[in-house]
Amino acid sequence: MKNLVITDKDISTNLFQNSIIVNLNNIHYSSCTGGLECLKCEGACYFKDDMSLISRWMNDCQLIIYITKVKYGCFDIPFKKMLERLVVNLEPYYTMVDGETCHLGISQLSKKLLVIGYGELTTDEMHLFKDMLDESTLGFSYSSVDAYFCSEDELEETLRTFGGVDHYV
Amino acid sequence: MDIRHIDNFDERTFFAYDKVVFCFFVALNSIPSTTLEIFQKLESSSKTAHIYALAICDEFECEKCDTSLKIIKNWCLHENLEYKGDMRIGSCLTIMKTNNRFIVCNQIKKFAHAIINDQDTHLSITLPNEKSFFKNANKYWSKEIKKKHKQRRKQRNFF
Repeated sequence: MKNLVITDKDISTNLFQNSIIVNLNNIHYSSCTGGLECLKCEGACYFKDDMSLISRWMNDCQLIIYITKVKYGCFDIPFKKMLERLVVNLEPYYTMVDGETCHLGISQLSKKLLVIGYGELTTDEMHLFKDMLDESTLGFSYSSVDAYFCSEDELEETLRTFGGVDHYV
Repeated sequence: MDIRHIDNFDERTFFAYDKVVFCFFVALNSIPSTTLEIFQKLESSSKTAHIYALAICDEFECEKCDTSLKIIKNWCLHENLEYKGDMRIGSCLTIMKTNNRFIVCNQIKKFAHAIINDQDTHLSITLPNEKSFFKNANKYWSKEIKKKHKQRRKQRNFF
């Protein structure tokens, strides 16, 4: 399985040649209903849309890159909607990890997560976003979780810096 | 008191209230997208309401709600609104099925009282210990999964 880049903005496909690039503006996915029905049905989501495939890819790849707008120290709406659909990749039962209760991820394949957040952010919002990332990846087997921030104008330049990073995984 | 659901929320009604409580189930350790949508709808319009939040999570630790509450505080800061307080409920899927439901009800009443009197408040409630959480919560999931299996079998036999 290749690496996966998920973006909420149009980016050049040349930057990440060893990855599948998913542009959230070009796919169809419904919002999660939040009833945790998928956990009761052994990971079968009620909706059959593009997210069915993407959530499977998320389990199988070794590097995941998120390119997302960050607002109030949180993912922006399209990205958050997509992430909420990934509840399907969790075990229903609770486990203790690092002294905290959480749901374990179904896939225990070790992977790396790189998040490139853009937007007008304060230092507090950056810290909040990083804390949120650390907390939300607790049950998953991420060997590293990194976040980098830039303004929207600097995004292209930042992406050029990170371009080709998927070649080394 | 008016209760508005995300499906029929009209941002114009927000201005009619002087106290607003956001109630939500924490989604992947942060604020759900539906609440973010409300925030976006309300952006850059002059508001004066006092904001409270009732955050609920299914894990044992109430602290899992903290990130969401910080995001709401950030939004209040951006929009020049006064954040007055919150209530965090942990173990939400099972706590109302145990005797602790009486404590939860009392805490919610306390929270409501603080809102009515426009007081600052920070309350939290969860199951008393991790042992009872694991016992009750994992039992809850076993039951729900069995229930779903049964439902599916019935459906299959029906067709």
